[in-house]
Amino acid sequence: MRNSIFLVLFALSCITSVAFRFEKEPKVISIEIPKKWPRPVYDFSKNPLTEIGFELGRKLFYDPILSRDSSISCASCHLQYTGFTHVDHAVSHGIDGRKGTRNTLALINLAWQKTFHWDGGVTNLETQAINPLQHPAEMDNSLRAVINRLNASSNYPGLFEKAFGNKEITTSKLMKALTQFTVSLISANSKYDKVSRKEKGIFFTEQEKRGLKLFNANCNSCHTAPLFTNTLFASNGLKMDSLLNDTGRFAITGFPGDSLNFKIPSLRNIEFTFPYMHDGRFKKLKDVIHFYSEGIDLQSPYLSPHVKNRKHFTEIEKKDLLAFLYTLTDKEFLYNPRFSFPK
Amino acid sequence: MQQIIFVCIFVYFSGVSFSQKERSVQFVPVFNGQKVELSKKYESDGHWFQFESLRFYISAVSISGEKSTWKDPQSVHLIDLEDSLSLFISHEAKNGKRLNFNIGLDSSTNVSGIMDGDLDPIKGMYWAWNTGYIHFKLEGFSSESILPNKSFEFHLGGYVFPNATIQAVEISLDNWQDNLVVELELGKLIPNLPWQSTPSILIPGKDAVKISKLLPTLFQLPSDEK
Repeated sequence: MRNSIFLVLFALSCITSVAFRFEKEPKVISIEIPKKWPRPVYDFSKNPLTEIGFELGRKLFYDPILSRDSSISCASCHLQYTGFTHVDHAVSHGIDGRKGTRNTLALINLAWQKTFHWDGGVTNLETQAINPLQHPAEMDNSLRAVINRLNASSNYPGLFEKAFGNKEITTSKLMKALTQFTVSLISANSKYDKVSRKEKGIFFTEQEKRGLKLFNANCNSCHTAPLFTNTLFASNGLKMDSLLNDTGRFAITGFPGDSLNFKIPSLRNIEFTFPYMHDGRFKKLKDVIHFYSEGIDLQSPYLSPHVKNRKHFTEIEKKDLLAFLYTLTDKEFLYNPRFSFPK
Repeated sequence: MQQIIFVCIFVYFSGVSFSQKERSVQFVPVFNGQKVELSKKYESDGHWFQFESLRFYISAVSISGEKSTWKDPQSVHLIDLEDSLSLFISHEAKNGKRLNFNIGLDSSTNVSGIMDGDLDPIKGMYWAWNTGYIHFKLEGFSSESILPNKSFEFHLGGYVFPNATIQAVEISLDNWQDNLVVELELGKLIPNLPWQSTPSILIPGKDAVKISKLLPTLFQLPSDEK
């Protein structure tokens, strides 16, 4: 008899502890996938999004605690108002003003990216942030030091416990929290999107319509809608910078055909992500259009077939194209308070 | 009745735990038969060698007998000479004729995102700029090195064809012992390293593949057991 009471008590305690656990576990949320878009590439199953995890990632993204001397944060080079890139900087400067060799990439719609960096060297969003953390010209820190510093801080162990159920901060929890924020940076509310969705009262101007036509005929095979990138790599005919000697994707794959190949970036919010190209050599968007019209190095041995038959744009056509590209600006994204510095 | 069941369960579980003796595979790095200690100078063929770091991944360990095969439930182990406990892998095989494992990690492990334990990038075996793990790392100093400070560093990794460096190892076990000792004879590797051209290999590619193909020949049973 005494034993059966014991068993009942034991069973009850099991049930209540399970119930208690469920109560404590943060609620899983999901990103909103825009209509007619492909499925995201990122595997959310191993890192379920939660509001508390997203907020932790956001806090970390804006916190200089990650850099060696606590001077810069992710947001130092990835500013929201310019599509999370470093406006006006051909290449960014990290710690102690040290300069990198490539233009900061925008952080937009990363859930659909198969690879990261201009050379595609990183194949998973979760491990991307290790690079800027450790790079001597960026945050110049070590993983060990970052993890120790976060564990010793007064606030982070409690925040990680709320998000991941455990106080101990590890590399994987840090990277997963950052990913929860960066994977949520979705831009799909530009004028282009609203016109595509046939939203009431929103129409292209005649000039934008002409630009769209030119875009579809000449640009869309690489900068494919709706992401405005086909997520691949190409050599677009830029002459190699003789000081940087950057061979691009060749350094990753070792295949000669990948020489001078760089990531085809998304054109979303392109109005604000200047300067342009992998080394930031063009300050104005009109310079980029001029380059594709007149500047491609046709002798470049690894030139993409898509730009071989370059089209000479008239000055009016260039203006039309520009007008269309400006319709990819998404102010709701650029000024979304959910993505801004946490208060 | 319930008490009897309770007692039976107790006896059963305690019996299992008592009958389980620790069995292990122990990796012992040696250089020309001498056990390797880090930061110690070794002479060989008129040159000196000093090892500062020896770390590698072992995956898919199994021990096969005539009737059964024991498969390691832990898929990956980081063996690190600096961490003496890491040199032991526990196993549950009662008998066996063959020991099999891979040096390095398969391609899916290399691209699976952020992971914990032995695969935590904090262990210094991860290439952040070119996603993937260093499968085998040997660092130190030698009079053979052409580098100014006589250092050498061989970081062997890569998982994409044709630069994959994972290697399969099979060792025949003629005399079964519960505690298996597997030597890693660096003396078979050292004379074949590119001392005069590239004593610093830090990226995947042909050079890394060439050296990695030698690695399976390093693993052997101690000579008195052969």
